[in-house]
Amino acid sequence: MTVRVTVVNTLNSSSIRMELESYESVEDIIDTAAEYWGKDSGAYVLRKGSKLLCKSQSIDEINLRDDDIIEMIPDPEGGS
Amino acid sequence: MRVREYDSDRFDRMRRIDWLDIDRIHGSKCLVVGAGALGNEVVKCMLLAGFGNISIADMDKIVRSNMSRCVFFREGDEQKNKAEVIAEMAHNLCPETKIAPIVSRIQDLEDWNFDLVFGCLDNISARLHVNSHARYHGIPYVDGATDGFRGKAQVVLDSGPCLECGMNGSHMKLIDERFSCTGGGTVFVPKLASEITTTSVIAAIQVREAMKILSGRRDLCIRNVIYYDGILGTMECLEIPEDRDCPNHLSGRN
Repeated sequence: MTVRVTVVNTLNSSSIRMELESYESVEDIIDTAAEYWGKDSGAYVLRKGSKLLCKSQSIDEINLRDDDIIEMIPDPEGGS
Repeated sequence: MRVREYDSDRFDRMRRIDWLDIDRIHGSKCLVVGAGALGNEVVKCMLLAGFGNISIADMDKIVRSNMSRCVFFREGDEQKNKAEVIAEMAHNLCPETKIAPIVSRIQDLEDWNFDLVFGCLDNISARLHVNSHARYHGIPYVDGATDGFRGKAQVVLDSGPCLECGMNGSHMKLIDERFSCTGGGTVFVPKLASEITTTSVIAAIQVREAMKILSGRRDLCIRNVIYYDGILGTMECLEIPEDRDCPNHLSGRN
């Protein structure tokens, strides 16, 4: 089954609509979104509500529905 | 008690927090990995909070640009080992605290006999190393990270999700990069911003989570990661599911 969700880039508030199949994974969303926004460097995570999405989860497992909003947030890795 | 006698107890104000186990915090043996901006602030908070036995590991030397956010470094400390300078300065602040510098790569550390580990690192590879070793030895791990005015802190306990569970392919592409903001021959791609106010916030959260864990109050800990945005002034806890494919969770499974 296909679901259509909105992925929001929290760095610039821009968004894209994405069509996802139930067998696709969170990793697929990250790759597609990063490619769309030309993010060739930096680490990112996806959140839905109060949960981070795990890369191995499938669209089915995270119970995505039409018009759900997923946020892509930069993941800080510095500290020195 | 005589009038004002309570002011002679260094930890009197902390003792008023009834669930804090100050004796356990003082008696714990903790490892701080990384002696840069986060490492400085974490050690500062630990000393003032009464941690009694601290090891601090870092192979790097001080450069002048560290001084905008490293409370223990002084003009003239350039090219000295970060871990050794922190240990020396920490002794001045709290002579009763045992503090041991370890000048080496964390990958070379063999003795993991600690009650708790702090991650104050600038690269994913070292974070994953500390995460897997802490997990293997059953040591709670409190990791911190910053990028300019944004930061995060994650609590990793002996059960539940670990640091690697929250990572994905975008992290693995960067696994060998150092996110250092300083130069001096280090590789840093991308070159990240770093400043003291965000560093202080994240370091304070890390030490506070450690105080909860050591006081036996894991129920109060962040679940599982807290993201801080200093521009928007927001802070939010997010749950991380345990990744079924995470190599740190494979032992003991059928």
